[in-house]
Amino acid sequence: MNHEYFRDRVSAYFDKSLPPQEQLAMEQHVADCPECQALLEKFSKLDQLVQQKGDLSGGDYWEQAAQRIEKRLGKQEQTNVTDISRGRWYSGMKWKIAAVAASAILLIYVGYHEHEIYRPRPLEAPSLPSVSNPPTETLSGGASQKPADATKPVQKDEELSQKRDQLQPSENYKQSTKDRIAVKRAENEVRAKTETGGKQEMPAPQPSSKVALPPPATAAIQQSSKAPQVVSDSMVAGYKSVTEDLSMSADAQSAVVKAKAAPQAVSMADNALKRGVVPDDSTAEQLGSLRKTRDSLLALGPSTETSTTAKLNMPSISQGLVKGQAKPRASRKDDRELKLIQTCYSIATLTKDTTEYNQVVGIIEKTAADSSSAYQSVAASYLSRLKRP
Amino acid sequence: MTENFREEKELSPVPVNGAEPSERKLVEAAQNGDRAAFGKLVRMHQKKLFRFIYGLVGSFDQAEDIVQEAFVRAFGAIGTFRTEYSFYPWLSTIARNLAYTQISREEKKESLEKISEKGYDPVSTDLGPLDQMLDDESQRRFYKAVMAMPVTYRAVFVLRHFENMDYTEIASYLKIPPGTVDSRLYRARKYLMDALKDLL
Repeated sequence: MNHEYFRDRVSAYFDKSLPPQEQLAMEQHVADCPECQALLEKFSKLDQLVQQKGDLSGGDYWEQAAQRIEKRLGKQEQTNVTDISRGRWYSGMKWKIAAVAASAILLIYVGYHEHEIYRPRPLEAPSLPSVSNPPTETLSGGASQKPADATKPVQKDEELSQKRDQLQPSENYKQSTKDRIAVKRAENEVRAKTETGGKQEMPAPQPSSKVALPPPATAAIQQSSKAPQVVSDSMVAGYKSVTEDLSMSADAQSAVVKAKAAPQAVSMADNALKRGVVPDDSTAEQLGSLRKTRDSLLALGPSTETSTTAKLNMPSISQGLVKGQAKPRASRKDDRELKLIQTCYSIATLTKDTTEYNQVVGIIEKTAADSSSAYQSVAASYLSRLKRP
Repeated sequence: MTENFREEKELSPVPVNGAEPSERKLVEAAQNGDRAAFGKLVRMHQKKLFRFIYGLVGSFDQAEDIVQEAFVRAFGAIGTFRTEYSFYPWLSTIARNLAYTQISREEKKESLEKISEKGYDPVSTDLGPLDQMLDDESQRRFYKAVMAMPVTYRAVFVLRHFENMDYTEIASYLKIPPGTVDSRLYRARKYLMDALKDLL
């Protein structure tokens, strides 16, 4: 150890703040080092100077200061302020204990009532419109075909709903795209089996899929002509197997042909719908939600309004939005337009009200006729699915 | 007069875990609501406390406010104070924390900046109201030199020499390593030795 090492520790040595071994080493060094001895002497004199010169006088000032403090104390009542230096160990603990107890009670309550708080919603049918048909219009084949098919879908729907309830429901109501694809694939399989097997039972659901069982084949085929969202490649493959069966209706066959002939439009519409907001609820709730979406979008975008939609009862908040709405950017307007035609399409597939059906179709037609619209082709594809052959 | 500080230390030594009987009685009386008794405690300790806080914050007005606030808070918390302990360390801790909050709030500005804001010029001659509390020129030079030190050095110096805190306590209070306490104290002493070499 060189001299610098000891010199840097002279101050601590003077204050006796070194560890015992270092203190001893310093003693030995200082005994033989004049420089360190001189430094220690200066420290000692400085300490004396501080003691001599550090005290303050100013008698009157202190008395006045004390009186000011007493006056201030007179205005303040004695309170139970927590001692910050040597306060009792439990000072402030009562609040901590109360907080911990409250947290524990809350956790116990949540745990006890978890099944009520986090009640999972039963799996609903996929976003395909199930049984609603365009008002007064049926596929070619007449109304007679409908009653004959109606009983089978109802019975199978009940069976399916029972089996569906046995599945562990998903807590995420908004199914991911993967789930939707899996649903469609399962539908294909079931449809293929049902068509070929006739009265065969529905296949047992796969527990890992967590999806709803597909509806009956006939209704599904009718639905497929209206729902481009589900017309993915897997569905096209499924249609292939179905069209081979002669019991398939001509309408369904034409729908399959259309689906196979326009893959680009289908995929585009498919992607557009996938981005759209189509909640996975029951039909009535779904319609209600879609209507609200439509109304709010119409309130924001006057270019897509029709004369009939202007009569709709818009909520006051939408009016407030119209008032205070800044001029939207082009991208937001396009997003609204897309969302609007998506919403209108969904309403058209679900509603039984002719007037409403015509309204929403009119909105889509307007977009399809607008050459400046970015979604003209999308709107046209929607219309092609809605049109009756 | 010049030995007041040392005499005060000798006449009223602070036992490790005990308070002087006279002080203890005053504290107990104050705990019972006797404001006059607490007033005596104020007069007993305010000068020492002010010197310490003034050395920390470097501003007369701020030191005044902090000392006053510390006494008010101490009176408010007197009911929780255990009379077997000495009163001043407890009071000093209250004031120290207030001062540290003040210092931290100002991001540990240099003492020169703080004094300049208040209109004081430590380099020239005027120490402001503190000048009235100093008896002679050597004392003025001493305080000027202390106030002129960088605040990081001055804080360590004041805690060691005015409050008699050891390195561990200083390190804990300033939230620095003990080695840093050692080096800063060494530099503070060197600074004063150079500034006051003719007085040593």
